[in-house]
Amino acid sequence: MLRRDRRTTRRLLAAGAAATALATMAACSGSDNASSKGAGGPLVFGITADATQLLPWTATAVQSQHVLGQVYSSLLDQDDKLNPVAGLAELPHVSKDGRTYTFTLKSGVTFTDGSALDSDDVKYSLDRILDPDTKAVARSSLAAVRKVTAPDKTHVVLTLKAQDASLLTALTSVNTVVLPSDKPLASLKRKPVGSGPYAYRNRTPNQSLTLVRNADYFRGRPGLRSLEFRVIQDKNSLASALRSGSVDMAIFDDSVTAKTAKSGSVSIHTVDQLDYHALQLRADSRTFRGLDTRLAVQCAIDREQVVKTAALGQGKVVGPFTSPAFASDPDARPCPKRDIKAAKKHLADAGRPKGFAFTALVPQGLYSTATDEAQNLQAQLGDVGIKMKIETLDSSAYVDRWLAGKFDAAIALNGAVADPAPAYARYFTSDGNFNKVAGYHSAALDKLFAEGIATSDTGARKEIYAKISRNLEDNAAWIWLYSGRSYIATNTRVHGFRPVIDASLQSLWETKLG
Amino acid sequence: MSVLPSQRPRPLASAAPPARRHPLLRGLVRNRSGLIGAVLTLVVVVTSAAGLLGTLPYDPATQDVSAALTAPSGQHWLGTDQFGRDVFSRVAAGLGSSLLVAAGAVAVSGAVGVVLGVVAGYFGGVLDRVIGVLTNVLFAFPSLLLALALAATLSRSRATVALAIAVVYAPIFVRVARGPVLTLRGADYVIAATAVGQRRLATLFTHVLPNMRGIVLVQITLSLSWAVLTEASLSFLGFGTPPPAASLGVMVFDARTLSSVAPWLLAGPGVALIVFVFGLNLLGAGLRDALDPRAGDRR
Amino acid sequence: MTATVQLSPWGRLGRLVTHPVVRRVAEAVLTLVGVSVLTFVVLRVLPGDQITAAYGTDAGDLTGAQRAQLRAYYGLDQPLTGQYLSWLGGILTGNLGFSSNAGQSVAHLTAHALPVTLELAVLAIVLALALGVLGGLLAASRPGALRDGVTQTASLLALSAPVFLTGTVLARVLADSFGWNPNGQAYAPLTGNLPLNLQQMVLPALVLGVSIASPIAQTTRTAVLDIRGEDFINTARAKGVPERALQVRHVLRNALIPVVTMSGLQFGFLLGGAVVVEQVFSLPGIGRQVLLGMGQKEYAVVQSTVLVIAVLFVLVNLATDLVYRLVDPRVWSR
Repeated sequence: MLRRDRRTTRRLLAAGAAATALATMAACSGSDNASSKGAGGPLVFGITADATQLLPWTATAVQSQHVLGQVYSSLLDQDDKLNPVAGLAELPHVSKDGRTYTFTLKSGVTFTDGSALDSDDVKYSLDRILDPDTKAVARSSLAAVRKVTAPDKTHVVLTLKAQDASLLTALTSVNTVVLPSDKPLASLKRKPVGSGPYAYRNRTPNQSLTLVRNADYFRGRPGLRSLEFRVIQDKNSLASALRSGSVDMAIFDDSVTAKTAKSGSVSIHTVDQLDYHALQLRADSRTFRGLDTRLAVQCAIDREQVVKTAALGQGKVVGPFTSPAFASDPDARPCPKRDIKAAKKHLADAGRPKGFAFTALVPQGLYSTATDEAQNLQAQLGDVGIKMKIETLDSSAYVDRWLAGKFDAAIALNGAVADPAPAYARYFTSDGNFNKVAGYHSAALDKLFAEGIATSDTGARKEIYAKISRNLEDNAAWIWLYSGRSYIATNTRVHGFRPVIDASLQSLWETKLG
Repeated sequence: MSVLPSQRPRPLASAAPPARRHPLLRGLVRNRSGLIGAVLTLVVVVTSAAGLLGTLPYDPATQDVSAALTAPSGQHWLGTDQFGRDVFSRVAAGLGSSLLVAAGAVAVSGAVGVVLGVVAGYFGGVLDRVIGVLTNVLFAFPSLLLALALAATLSRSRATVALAIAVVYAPIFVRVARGPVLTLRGADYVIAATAVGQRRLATLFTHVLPNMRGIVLVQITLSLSWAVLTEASLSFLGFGTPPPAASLGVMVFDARTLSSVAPWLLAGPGVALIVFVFGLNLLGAGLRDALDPRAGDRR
Repeated sequence: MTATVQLSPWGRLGRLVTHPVVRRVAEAVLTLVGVSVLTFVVLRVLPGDQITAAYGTDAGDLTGAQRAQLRAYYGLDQPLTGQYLSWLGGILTGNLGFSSNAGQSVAHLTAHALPVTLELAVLAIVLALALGVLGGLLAASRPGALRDGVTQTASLLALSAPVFLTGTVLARVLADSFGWNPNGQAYAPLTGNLPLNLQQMVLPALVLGVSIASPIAQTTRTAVLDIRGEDFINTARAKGVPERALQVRHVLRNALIPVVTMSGLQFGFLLGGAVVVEQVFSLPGIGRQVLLGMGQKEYAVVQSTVLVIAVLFVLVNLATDLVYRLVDPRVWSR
């Protein structure tokens, strides 16, 4: 789970890496050049940072997850609305008490080295993910699992300590994919072996990584003979490469670069992101201890204006929960529209009628809009006498300070997944690993989150998360701003790719080159 | 930037005679490119002063979202950015900001570098060796990467960016100052002064230092232009001057992306940056020619 | 050195130690040690470590025990002096360290990245020499005339534009107007696909070359004017040496000495200074390797690569210096 944070993380890294720039190395291969392109590929997928993490359990960067998503398979997949659907296994049979999940594996599935994928591999993988020694990032999202058993070759049973409504979503993640039990992790780290649509062929660090078709893929014949992920760190250069046809596909997170890439032979598909942009306030800090102080900030901000300036209008105002099934109502908050009078009243109630000053951490190089958001927020807050100082930090420094909770406020882009629980419980429950970062918790929230995770009925869950959402907003725990869009650029030769919310690549395996 | 400046200081052709009055200024005025450079630099300084004095058409930080991304017009000479901020005013403020960073960097590196260079050159011996090795270390370290690393270790501000650039440029001043000191130390009139009984230190101040003013001045002018470019390159690599201060480097870098929809965002600061650096380079070249007639217009 | 003649072994040793060449080599070694210490210290002061670089915000989920294991894995649990000495020991035995992100040894990475930057630097220097020497000669042929002014102005203008700006604009214009974008393709090594390699190198080399042509033009012009004023030229002219031969054999040949020195210096700077161009044109050179290592906090990558650059820089300088001394024996006495 916590793909949510996986996300923040990967964004952090990805973008961090990208912006910092890097890339190195060279080439030995001299293999493929554009000339060798045929209908079966290679399809060249441009990425702005190298996929450096080849072990899926610890892969946090989005580039690595994109690559590994093609090489490995998870127990469950997602449909185009990000709901869990059958993957290596059918949707499980869940016991009445909601604590026993029985999965039936598809038969005849093999790894690309030819060995069979059976329940032993699944049990091995889940056990190892839960083993602290592997430092698998999904350990926290599978924390409810008490034990994994494999009664026979095709069945796997998960026994839970307590009900966990977000378990299925957790099992769709790249961080919980099934690895072959007979290969040491050290070797998989260098040369991945999975059961996904494409098999790992080779990698030139910081230049490219090539996959080839896995003809035995369990869902059918993948559309491409080969798939190359090519590293082009500068997004402007990547846009040029798309226009000139040497790259077939790429994902951008800003509309202008996407527009630059667009041409007669490149089309752009716009999809919403689940990630949300927020101004995190730490209610634990001296500055923001008082509710009125936080509400003053809340009321002083016109979110549409942030979208208009920082994202050039490409985004939508959101509340805490962004996944379509659980989306918060963005009007269900104090001052849904900017209300300067209300802001000033809150300031007066807080005993700071003339305003106050605070410092916000702003990541530089992590994602393109951070400093622009900060500048607009600074200008807006200035109108009511709140002086926001901007402290820009490069990615590592930002992450360090952020994790340590050593800040009053921070501009952040946080990831989210289809299920609402994993993303927020870690921040806003008193024993959450990231409560120090969020700086806010309450008995009421603890109770609501516990209810949410223990409820399996979707309608009932929706109500609970709507309450959580309202609680967070009324207390102005953070200032939720907007969620942006992703731009998937594809050459017109690319067929069969379905743009899906959050720029998920689940249809990439069927994609063909015309 | 590009590359570190690399002219090694050319030792003065012959030991210069004691300083005359304003020979440099006169030479500069006679030198056409130097004059143009001086004028361009003056324009830049006046423009950025306008920013500091608050006499710009708009406040460079004030946002007017209703006027976002408008093309150049009578109202906004260089158009507006996505926040509706006036690009001309920001360019003017950016010139000031870049000038401050560059001037700060050069002041620090010049002061430290010249002192160390003079000490090394005048006293020689172990001091000279130690300073020499330190200088070489900084030279051998890839300059831009060093500036980048230094900028990343410190909390981001104009001052730290300037400091990072200063560390990189200090060794150049060491070399620039050391060479002429060595030459001057052996010059007849200096030897004569010492022989007449003047103390070494006094000789340094009365005879050696005054004669170095010119070459150091040239180096300062040239270093300013490199410092401006370095600050811009640091922005490109993600370690530039932090917002909301407008710096030319950051503006050019940001506009690189936006330029496909709003080319004026790149044009204004881009041209200003080039003109600014060009002016400093012309001025430096003019000063050098005025200082060292061998290089000047000689028929 | 005007040492008095002594026959004792100490005197000989003393003379050996103070011999300029020995002294230069000793200084070079000291310089490299200094660079390694500086790199080491700066890296440790940088906020963040390889754990946060690899895990990002997910590092917040790691338990204390897991963190400790990771610190041990990355060698961060050693005291600083121990870390430095073990790295230095590795260097001395030819082990430059390992990059876990690349899955390769730093030596292997460098062996692939270095040729890219060297090729770029050589091409840039060749271009810069061609432009700079020609420009310098042109300017010097009629000092003060229009051509002098134009050449000098052009060279200063070239020096004034940031490389990332000219590089981006040039690349975009060529890609959009002519559909020519060789750098969008996978990097082709020199020994793999020469035609593509040269296409990928030409723009970056041009941008870099133009930006360093200015000091070379300046040096050429000054040197030519200096030498023209020397007595031996007038003597030769008085002796009836034809003007053309005089210009080529005497003036140009002598003027090239400072130009070569200057180029050597520029070459040294290009090794680490090409990073922006490598970035704009997606060239997998050594500057990007350092930058990448810095971003991912791979200490061994940065330390070893910077040291390699410094070694090359020192070697190039040493070579230029020694060649210079051979050519112009007067320098020995300095």
